[in-house]
Amino acid sequence: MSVTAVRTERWCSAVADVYVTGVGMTPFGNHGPGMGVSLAVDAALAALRDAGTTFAEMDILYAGAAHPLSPRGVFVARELGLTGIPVQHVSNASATGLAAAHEAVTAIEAGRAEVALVVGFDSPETEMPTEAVITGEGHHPPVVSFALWARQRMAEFGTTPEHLAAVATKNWNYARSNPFAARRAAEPVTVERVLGSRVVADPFTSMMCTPWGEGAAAAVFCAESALPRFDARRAVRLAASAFRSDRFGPGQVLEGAIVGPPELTRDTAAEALAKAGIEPADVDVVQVHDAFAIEEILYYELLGFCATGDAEKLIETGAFGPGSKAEFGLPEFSTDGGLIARGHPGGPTGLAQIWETVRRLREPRGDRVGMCHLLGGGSICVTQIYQRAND
Amino acid sequence: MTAAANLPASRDQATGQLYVPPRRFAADGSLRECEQLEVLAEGTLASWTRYRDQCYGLIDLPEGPRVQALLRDGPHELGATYVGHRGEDGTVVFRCG
Repeated sequence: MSVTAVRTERWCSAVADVYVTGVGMTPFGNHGPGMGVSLAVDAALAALRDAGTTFAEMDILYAGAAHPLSPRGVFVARELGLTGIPVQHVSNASATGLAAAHEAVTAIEAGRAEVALVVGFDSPETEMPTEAVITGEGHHPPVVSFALWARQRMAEFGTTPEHLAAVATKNWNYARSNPFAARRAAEPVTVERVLGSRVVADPFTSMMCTPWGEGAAAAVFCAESALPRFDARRAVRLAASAFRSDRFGPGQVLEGAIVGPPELTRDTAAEALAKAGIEPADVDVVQVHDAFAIEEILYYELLGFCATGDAEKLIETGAFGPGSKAEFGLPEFSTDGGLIARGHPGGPTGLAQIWETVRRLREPRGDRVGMCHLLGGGSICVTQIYQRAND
Repeated sequence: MTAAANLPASRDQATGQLYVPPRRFAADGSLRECEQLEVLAEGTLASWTRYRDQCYGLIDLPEGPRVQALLRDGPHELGATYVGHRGEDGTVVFRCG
């Protein structure tokens, strides 16, 4: 039995069911510096109103911000109410939002809270681009690390710029119907337009790369014991939350703001699926860390939805886009535009993924199972699985 | 032409695992102290890209470690042998063999 299997079994002990009862978010984009508290409060209010509750009902607050110049979570809590609850600030690079949600779930499972508010936000007090934060730590720019992944994949599996553009095009077009997306194209986006946009780092053009940005998103989590306080018909059940960091392996790059060897995503997703007691074929919709188009291609395979080397052929057939489940038996990916088009402020991205997952699972005759996945530089990975509560 | 540079590295003497850049302890969490050493900056180019007039690459060293590297201006050839040379500012830049 592998170490992964042993650890998964150990962590599969029975825990209290946890539900999401409310979600909210602000538009992602260029809000300018100094807006962190304001954006976070707006997202928190939207989530609390969606849940039909108030801050007075919260037992604990987890606030996630990735940018080092974003305000601390306690200043967000102070605006919402001085109620004396624990306020914990969580920071874990791109995965901050899901990491904060994981901590809230852990608190509920441990019986330390019945109802938790999680707010993710990013808007630095003074202007400092995300890339400057990362290179300031002595790392290569993120786009370089992922372009190196892409060039290697192209050499090994014949991936083409058209495959990368197809993924980006899909995500840009999903974002056209997301009112909170940073990039909302007026006209349908084509592969040719993506390929023709400015070259950033070969093989990436600007439309294949996240625009980063600022914004906020929030969610209300509760224990099953607190569910009667909410509209249970709108609640979504958290079936699993898995959280891992790198395990050393041959050929692993040990420097820079790396995002882990392939095993990190593969192991974390396998643990989440095992905890939830489902197979990849049960998943209807997936949100992933698609900051650069090559990532989504790799995650089709690493999350368990197709075999290594099969992703490109599936992309050519239109899999992982609208109608993918019915036509191919494969989930739709990045349905709110993903990091490429919805945007990617590090603090709230995970909560935006939860916002989109809850929206999809609440739709009548809609999806039944959703997966959220993020990597945080260093590297860590969080994968969560959500299910309709009435299943 | 200057001689090939050395890169700081470390080795877990129990397993023989080589780490570049160096680690103080073995990666298995045992807190076994690694031997500090240097290895020749020479390996095979596994990937490369250009960003803002600077070329970057992944170099596979003979004993297994993969390192991120700055490359001299391209074009570059995957699978070719690349050698790193240390500049006056201490930065190691790789170029084709």
